Amino acid sequence: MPNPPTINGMNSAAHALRYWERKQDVVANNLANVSTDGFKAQHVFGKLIDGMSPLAQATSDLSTGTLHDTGNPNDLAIRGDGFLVVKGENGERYTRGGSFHIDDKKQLVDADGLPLLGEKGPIKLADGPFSIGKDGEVTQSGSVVDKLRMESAPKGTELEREGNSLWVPPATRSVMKPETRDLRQGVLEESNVNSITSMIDMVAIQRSFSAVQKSIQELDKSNQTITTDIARPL
Amino acid sequence: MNPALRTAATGMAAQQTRTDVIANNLANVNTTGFKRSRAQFEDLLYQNIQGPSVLGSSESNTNPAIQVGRGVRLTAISRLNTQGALEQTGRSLDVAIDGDGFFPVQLPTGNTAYSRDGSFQISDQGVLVTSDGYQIGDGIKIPAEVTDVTISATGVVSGSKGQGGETEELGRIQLARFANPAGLEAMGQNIFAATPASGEATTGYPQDEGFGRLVQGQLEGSNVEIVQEMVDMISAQRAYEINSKAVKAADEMSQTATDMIR
Repeated sequence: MPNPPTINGMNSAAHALRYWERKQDVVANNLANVSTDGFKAQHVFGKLIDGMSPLAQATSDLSTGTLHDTGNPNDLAIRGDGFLVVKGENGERYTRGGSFHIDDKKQLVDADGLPLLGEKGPIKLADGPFSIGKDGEVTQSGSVVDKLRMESAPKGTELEREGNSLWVPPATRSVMKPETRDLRQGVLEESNVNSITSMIDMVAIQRSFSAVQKSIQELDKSNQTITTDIARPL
Repeated sequence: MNPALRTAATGMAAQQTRTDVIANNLANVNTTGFKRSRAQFEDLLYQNIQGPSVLGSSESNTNPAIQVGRGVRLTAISRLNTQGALEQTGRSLDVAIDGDGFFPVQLPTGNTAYSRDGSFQISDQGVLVTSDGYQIGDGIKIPAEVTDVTISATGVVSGSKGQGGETEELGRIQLARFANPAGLEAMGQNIFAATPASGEATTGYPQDEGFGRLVQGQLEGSNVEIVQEMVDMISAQRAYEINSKAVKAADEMSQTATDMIR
């Protein structure tokens, strides 16, 4: 049986202020990425530690963003679960798709030049149009070039974000079955940030922040009463 | 300082760039051979502000790490190289490329640039040039006495001398292709320069394998769609506004925090 924690009002209030500030950071980052293709919104929840003060906890909302047709054959989006794999500088990374292009080596690469990986490695294309099927099969002039790798993260795991629209794969990898894949060519997935709920969140955060601040002021006042009125020297 | 301030500022800057790109697309809605661009964004690095922790003794109480992003950045302004609509002009020196390829043009510096704009002229030297006076390819001479200039789908330029004169071949227009045309550098004046990203130019004649065909008497219009740009502009403006609200909220929170000490 651990000792009951010493309850200090000031301390929990300071914790709460930090919690609301973190929540505001996350909302601001969601809003900054409202037009980033394939971006997944983050949500922050409070968790009570020993019934005392909230600890922030973040989860990613992995729902599919709005898909829109671009007509550009280099745009890829995934409907539903799953990630495409690119070769990052520090190993393989996950991406939700986006605008790819063909580099001077005729490989299909992302906006930062990282090659998209198929089962045989980077996708090497010849001149001319190519098509990508729902299951990631890349075909060009009637013959199959390669099949894009698609993997999924186990439910409930929080993938580490790396920035540049990339995610770090989990320790245990799982390849998606061809029938569960739904890759779309010529389509982009918009950010899934909902600007209306973000606005409401922002108002709530601000109000809660000032409410906690007020409680600190009240605690301060009562402390003042103790030091100035009760402990007045005789 | 509240990091949300900076994060929201990157969001505002991103929407500003997006509006710049949209404005340029709209300004070029009637530019021959213009290709619309689109600003592309990526999220910035994430900061682990709280490592994974285990609370108490039970397994179920593990808390995953919290990652807070620090905003957004521009990764690319990508050009969409789709075919623009062909517009009938009836002018014999207007040529549109239907399909892949660029006209190679000679710059005064001696370098070669590339263009989709086929509104050609004849210079005072009698050479076929672009509307800005840059020579097409190695130079196709069109003598002053030649009247009916025809340009075939495969690029052969021919003309006849006077009424009922014999038709003779004057030259042939070549086209250039790139592995990654989106990587070409726009130089203004409807011309592009090759870059390491675009790869080396492959030259060939129109209607060769992979090359488009030429259409005389027509020009390729811009591929900008006004409705699409307007919708994008509205969404950019709203996103800018909401990011400015995030700046304001972060500022007011900082103020609330400073108000604690009277």
